[in-house]
Amino acid sequence: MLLAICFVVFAFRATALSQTNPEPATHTPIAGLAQRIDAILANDPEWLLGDRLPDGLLLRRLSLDLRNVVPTSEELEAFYADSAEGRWARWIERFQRDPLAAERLVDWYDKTLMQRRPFQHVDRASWLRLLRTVVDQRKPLDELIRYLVTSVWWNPSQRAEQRFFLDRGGDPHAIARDLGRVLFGRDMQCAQCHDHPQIDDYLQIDYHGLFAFVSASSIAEGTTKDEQGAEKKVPLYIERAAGDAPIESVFDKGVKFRSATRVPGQPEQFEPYLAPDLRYQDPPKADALAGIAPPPKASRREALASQLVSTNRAFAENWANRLWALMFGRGIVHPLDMHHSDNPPSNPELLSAITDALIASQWDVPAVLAELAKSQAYQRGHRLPMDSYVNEQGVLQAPSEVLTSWTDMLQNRTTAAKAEHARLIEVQDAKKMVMDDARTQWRAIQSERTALRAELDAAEASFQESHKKFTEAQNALNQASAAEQATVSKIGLLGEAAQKLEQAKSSPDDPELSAAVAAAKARSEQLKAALPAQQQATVAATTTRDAANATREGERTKWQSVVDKLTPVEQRLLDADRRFAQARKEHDTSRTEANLQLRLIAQTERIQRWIQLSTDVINKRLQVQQIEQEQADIAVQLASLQQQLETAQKQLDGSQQTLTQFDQLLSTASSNISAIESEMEQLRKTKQALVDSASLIIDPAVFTAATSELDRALEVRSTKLTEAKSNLAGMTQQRIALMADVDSSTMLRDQAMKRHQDGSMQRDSIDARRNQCLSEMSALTEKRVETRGLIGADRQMQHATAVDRPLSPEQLAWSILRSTGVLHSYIANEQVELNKAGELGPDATEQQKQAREKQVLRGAMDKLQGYIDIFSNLYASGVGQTSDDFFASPDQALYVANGGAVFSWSGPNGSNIASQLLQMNDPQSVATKLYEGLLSRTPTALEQQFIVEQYATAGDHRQSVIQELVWSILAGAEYRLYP
Amino acid sequence: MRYANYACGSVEHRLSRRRFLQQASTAAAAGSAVVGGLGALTSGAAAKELGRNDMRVVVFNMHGGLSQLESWDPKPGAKTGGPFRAIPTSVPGIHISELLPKTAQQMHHLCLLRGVNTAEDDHGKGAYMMLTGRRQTPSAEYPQIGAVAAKMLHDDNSGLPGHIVVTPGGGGGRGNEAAYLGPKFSSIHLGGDKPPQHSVKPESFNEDAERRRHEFRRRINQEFLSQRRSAITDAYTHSFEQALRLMERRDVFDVSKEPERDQERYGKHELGRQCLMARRLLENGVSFVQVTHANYDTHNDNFNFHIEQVGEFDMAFSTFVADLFERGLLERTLVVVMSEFGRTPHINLYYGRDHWSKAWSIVMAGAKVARGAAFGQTNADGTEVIDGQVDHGQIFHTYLQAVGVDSTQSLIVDGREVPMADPAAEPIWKVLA
Repeated sequence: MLLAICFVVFAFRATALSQTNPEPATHTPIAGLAQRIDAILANDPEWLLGDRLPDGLLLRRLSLDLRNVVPTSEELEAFYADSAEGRWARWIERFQRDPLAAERLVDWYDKTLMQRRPFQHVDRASWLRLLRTVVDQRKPLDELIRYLVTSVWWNPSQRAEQRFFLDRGGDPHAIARDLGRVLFGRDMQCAQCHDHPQIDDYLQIDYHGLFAFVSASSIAEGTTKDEQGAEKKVPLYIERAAGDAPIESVFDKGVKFRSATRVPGQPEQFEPYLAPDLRYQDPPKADALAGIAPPPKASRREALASQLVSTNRAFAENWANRLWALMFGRGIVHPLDMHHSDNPPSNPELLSAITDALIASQWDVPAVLAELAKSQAYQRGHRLPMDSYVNEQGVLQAPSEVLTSWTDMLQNRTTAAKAEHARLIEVQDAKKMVMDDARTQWRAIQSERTALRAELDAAEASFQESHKKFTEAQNALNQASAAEQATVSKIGLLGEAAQKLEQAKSSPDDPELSAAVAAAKARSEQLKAALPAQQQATVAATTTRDAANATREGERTKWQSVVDKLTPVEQRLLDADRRFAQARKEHDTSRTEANLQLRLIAQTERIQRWIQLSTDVINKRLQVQQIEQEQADIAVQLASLQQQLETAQKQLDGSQQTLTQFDQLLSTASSNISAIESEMEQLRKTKQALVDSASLIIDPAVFTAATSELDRALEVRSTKLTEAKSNLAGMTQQRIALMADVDSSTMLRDQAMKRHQDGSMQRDSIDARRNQCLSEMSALTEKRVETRGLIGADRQMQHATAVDRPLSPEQLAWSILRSTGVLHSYIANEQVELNKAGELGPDATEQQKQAREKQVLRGAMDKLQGYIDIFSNLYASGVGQTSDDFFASPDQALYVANGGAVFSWSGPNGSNIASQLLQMNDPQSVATKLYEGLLSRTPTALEQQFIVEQYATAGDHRQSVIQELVWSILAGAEYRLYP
Repeated sequence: MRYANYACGSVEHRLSRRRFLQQASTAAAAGSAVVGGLGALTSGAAAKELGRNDMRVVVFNMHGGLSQLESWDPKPGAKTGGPFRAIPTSVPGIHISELLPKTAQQMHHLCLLRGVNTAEDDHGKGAYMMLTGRRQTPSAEYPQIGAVAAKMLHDDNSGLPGHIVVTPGGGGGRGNEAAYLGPKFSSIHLGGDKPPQHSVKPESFNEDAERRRHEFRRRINQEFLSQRRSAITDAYTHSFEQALRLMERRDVFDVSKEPERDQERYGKHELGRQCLMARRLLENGVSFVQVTHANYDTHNDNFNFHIEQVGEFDMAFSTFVADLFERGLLERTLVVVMSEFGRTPHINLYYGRDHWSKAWSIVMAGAKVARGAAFGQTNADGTEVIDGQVDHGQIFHTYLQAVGVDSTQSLIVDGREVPMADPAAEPIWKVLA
């Protein structure tokens, strides 16, 4: 209703949200977009396009995208059971009709437009009310944007629509940056003080063109009445009339220029020159404007809004890209606010097709989303067909004919792309020359205008001065004239009074009344006497005023003459600007195309490299195998050499032993000789002693007998000695032979040893070769894995496989609340509350029922908002970031584990999943319900087995085990991620 | 093998791709750039690239604006000097205020910067500049030193958060101090001596149930990860293990575990406990701790306030520095004493000093900072810097250089190159040893 008031009172604002029938309008059909998408993406061969996601997971993805929650097991069962033709389209429609879908869009609008800025000047409830109205009435997206940008400010009850500006603190630079990012997908912040240092497409004039739209807007306090009728101050984002201020580049000091308003890709817009005293409208009849200037006649915000239409390609492409990203998890241009030629779209034809469809649908968001969901591309999974040829070690083992067809295709692609790139670089160079030329021409006229604008500033200052004097003179005249009028009217009144007093006399000489009449007449005379002076003063004031007016009009004429000089210059400037804009566009397009070829080359070469690396790994492995064969051979050889060595050694040992034994014999023989010799010596000594003592012997017979006895003994010994000596001589001969034996064995042994050593060395070198090969193989493997990762990223970028993305903080929170039945019980409570206030009658229309359903859901969701805030505080990117980058931190985990809420929700309550599981007796069904209800898929055999085991051993703890299982799935990685 | 065998393109790989594209398709890929933005996913290898070392930072935020004249740059006898004397320190030739007798004995560890000129007299803006090294602009947010330190220095596996702000009040929420580095590097606020929120298991849980549910979680993850492992899943599952480790190490946050004697040495006041907590956290591997000493905004009765405040600070701070040195931590820890600005040399009618950012002082110590030095000089009345003038941009560069981080490098954030510190400023090489 508040929108309607606005429309009635200020109907001239073309951009106010029109009040339409809440029934969705009939929208231009954009059927066929899905097929068009798939046709465009079929440029890639099938082996590079992802598989189809299984049904359940597909439903999960759709549910998250359209409703911000995962599906329940009941929904999943119904989806499985639905086998009729057209099931997918039917389920898209079913989800889009769900009241949750409206909230999903509200959430998307909110995050996209406000980027998680806190509610500062506008409260959450009014902002949500505005967005919910937009979604419920299926307002065209462009209309909403125009409405927010115009941001009517003189009705304090409409402050929600000012939130885009108010909650950015009203700062023109912050707003200019976000106008670029949110409306055009261009973050030109770095082009504020100079042309963007890294992105050639972003010029300082682009930034200041946007800045000029809001440079005259600011936050001011208005007064309004609260519900109790008390006055209160409210901040309003107001706009004043303003000219453009001089700008200079910090890179190019001294060169100043002016910038009027400009949206990216369009020429500058010059607003009509209105004399300073004619720039504002009459104050509107709203009561909020105490102390605030009325709206300017030429509103720049309105001017911006008027350019936010289908013909503005940058605007339309930005929103098409954002809708794509909503469904696909990453933009065709990504990051979403980096549209420029060095960051080309993944597929320009695709972006173009979505943009055309968005326009054709008349900016109907749900219609476009439905078509995106219908495409095959939307339904892709994470695996590539080429992966089916990859073995468990991650190595590609395709049949050679397959591999050949792949490599041929890739080679052709690279060759063609390189040629095309070379051609495009030439085109780009030519386009650049044209662009630079156009820029120079434009700059020349720009500086002409800048000079004239300075002149206009001077003329305007003089005019303002004379206007001030005129206003003063007019005020003086008004005062003089008022004084004169007052006197005249007093004279009249006194005359009338005297007359009436005369009539009122009861007698002609009524003394009191006569005195009164006389007094009145006297007073009247007095006044009459003063009148001429006053009349003269009025005349004088009139003269002064007329003179001031003449001066002012003179200044106006001078001012106008400057304007008249400016107008043709601006016309020429506009022409030059159009040529410059056109040249820029052509240049940027050719640069985009060249960059696309570069990207295609890089992507193709990565696949080629991966195939090459896979082959290299296989070859390396073969080489390793060969070496391992050599290792086996050499091992056998070494074993035999070892044997030979051992044999030779044994032989050597034998002959050495023989020698040793022989030497023992030899030594025995030798000591035997010594013994004989020593005996003989002893005998000789005995005989000599006998001879020496012969004189003493009395009996000569005794002497003779004794000596002969000794001689005999000596003789025996002598014979023995000779024998022993000859024996020894023989043995010495024998030993020489044995020695020769040992020598030859030693030689044989040494030879065997040498052979064995050689063999060992050979073995060591083979081992070293193998190690070398293995480390080369692991380096190759590492590169292969890395390259495969890059290809994976490329494929995601080209929308050939599903994107790895987390649930948004809101999706995670709402999904958990819904999966655990919390949302359901809040809805039930809300229903009861609303029914207390009045139930819907049996004759309620379908429309009323739907409205009630929505009201119930919204009531429940608003009450759960506190939990959502906890999750977004923990999981969301900071304020003002383009998108929610994924990050994981221990405080998130601490909350999920110990915060209490998530674990307690996981337990049985009402008819939630844990309660249902508790009722079940068959562990198999428990497993199925658990996985279908929470993860939208049937468990694998391993998972089934795991659950069954837990169930079997749970005993008395069954309830706890169920609660813990539910919790651990909610806390698991699969739940955190998109399927 | 260094690379995890991810089934699909991991974010890490995407980063490499971006980098590749940048080099391939833009002419100017100038400067040395390190990968950032998706900090949670920085792997060990990338950490090496970031030059992670065993350095730490501790900041004493003298909230409200400590008077340089009653601390680091006294002007006894000057008409602006106030009633206090200057005393000699452990470094011959350097004198500081008599309000800092204990700190004077630690002067040989400290480096005074007496020529700070930040030209910003607003509390909020001044604090922003000192913590981020940039002037605040409405269209861009910059990360605070704590977030940068956490990103560049912190070891994710320690189980402890890398960026901790200890405040008297505390409060569990995350601030936006990390800006584009992402909330992972935002501070965890500790209220006085309380551990982080939710760091204890629910009371209703017995050890068995606790162990069981995490075992379930791991088992259930395992099956999924065999199909869909990526940098995202690694980071996510890791965060739960980190949380468990943090719970195990919850004692780290319990100052009462420190010996009674130490509690006395630091002073049995808020700041003393904060400093002891800081020592404990730094010893346990936390990269950044900020302690806050409030109440320096002495527009009235400047001198009495400073006697009381600086006295408290002197005891806690001197003990802290001496302990860090004794424990061998000082050479690995940058200590900074800062405010949002200093106080006017002029003494106002209420015996107060007002906001003054043209000529004031900060202190740095430890890590690669020169020891026992005084850099920069103000004139006789302390109204102007006459030598060694530095501003917040240079100071911020110097923080980073002091802990071995190249402050001239850029981070690549969401495809954009962002200089880590103001590219228009340079480190103060003269105070770096």
